[in-house]
Amino acid sequence: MTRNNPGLWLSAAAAIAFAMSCGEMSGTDGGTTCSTDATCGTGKACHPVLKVCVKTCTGGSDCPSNEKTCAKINSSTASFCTCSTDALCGAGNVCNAATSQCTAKCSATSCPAGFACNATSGNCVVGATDGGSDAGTTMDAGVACNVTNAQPDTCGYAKACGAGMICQAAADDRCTNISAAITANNYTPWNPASSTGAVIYVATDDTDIAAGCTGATDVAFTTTVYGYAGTTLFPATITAAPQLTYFTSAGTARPVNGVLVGTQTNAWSHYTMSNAGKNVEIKMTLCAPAGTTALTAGFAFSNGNALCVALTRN
Amino acid sequence: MIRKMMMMQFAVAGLALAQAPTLERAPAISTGYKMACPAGSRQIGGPTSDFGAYACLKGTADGMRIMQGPMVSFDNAGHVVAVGQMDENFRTGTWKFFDASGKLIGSTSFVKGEYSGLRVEYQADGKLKFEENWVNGKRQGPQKAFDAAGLVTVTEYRDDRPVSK
Repeated sequence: MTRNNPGLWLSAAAAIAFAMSCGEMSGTDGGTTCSTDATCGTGKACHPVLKVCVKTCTGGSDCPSNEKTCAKINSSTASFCTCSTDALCGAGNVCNAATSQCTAKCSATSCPAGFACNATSGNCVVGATDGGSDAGTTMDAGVACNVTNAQPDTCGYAKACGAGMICQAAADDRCTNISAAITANNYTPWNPASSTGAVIYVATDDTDIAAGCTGATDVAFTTTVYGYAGTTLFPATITAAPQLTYFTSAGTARPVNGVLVGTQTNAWSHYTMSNAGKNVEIKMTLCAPAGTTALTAGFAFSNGNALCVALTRN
Repeated sequence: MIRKMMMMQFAVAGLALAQAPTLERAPAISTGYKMACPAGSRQIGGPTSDFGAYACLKGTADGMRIMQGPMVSFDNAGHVVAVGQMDENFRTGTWKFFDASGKLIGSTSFVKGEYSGLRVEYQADGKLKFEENWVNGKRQGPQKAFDAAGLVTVTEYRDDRPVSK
């Protein structure tokens, strides 16, 4: 363990603050259609639902305030700026369930293929299922779900609700942190078919909370990890919870439980269990040596999936 | 297939266990409490700190900061909710957990942060709710669950999954 490894020190943080306003779909390039990322210019990738080139992101700091979460969509290779709630998109707009972008309320013809406009909500919902008789003019709907519900909602273990309100396989990342951890026997690869651990379905790049780092020269990277229980429910306190591990870029395992991820929900650290132990969110700050400007963090619960999140100073 | 056995011998054992409610209470620990921190470490935190815990912190030559020795966690109101030991930032040994009234609600054995050993939880009346056996983060062997009447259901587990007999 050396000071060269970013994220040496776990501490805690406060509530998420998504200060957002609404706007246009972020980063589209005027409608250049695409089928693969290769057809898009530098800094853009093919949006898996819109099928147009859209600006990519590496962290929340790349994104506008109304679409502050940088995330993959429908298992895309690239990450895009995505919205979280209608309210943050501003009056008259919605967080489009099909595209995960702020848009005006939909009309009968404005939703992407495979989606239909719900006149009440003004949002795109999963459209007709593909019974095989339409020659592919509508998409296979998959299992419908709601991203605003407690996860995995209708999706079941090893999945989570994604963009388009369709169940998707939960991430099981192999960033350098995780591959190094596997090599060092610090992490046993997850098997969705047989593993029973808690699943992390998203981690956000939050506004950094300097108070979480006590070192005079440390810089803070704040993130919140969201998970749902496997076969063991989450208890009320993190000190009783199944092991959550942070993996450094060198694959070193740093236990999160009890290490300055505090119990005070009104403080800059918190662990919050909800839904009778089925869900949890854990806010923490990773403290890295001064001068560090970006940090990739890997996380996994005991016997659970691995998720990597790119954090920037913001 | 999940197979639960409701056999007489287990039911009798369950009744015996469930009829002996725990009376253990949380230790009286408040602001100013001095923990027995290991040499080379110092006590940090407190019931009303952002951390919400008392712990012993030691530094190392490479700048790492490590929790070592006793730790006590508090809820927002300053009640003791967990008492245990840390070893190089990992939970170790038997931790005890309490509700806000100070009543023991469960205990868990840890090895390098993972559930390993006995994990029990109590019902509101102090009788056993479940008694689990863990090995390195996975349930192994017989797992007991008690109902309100004290009847026990025993389920055999292997690698954290119930097994058919």
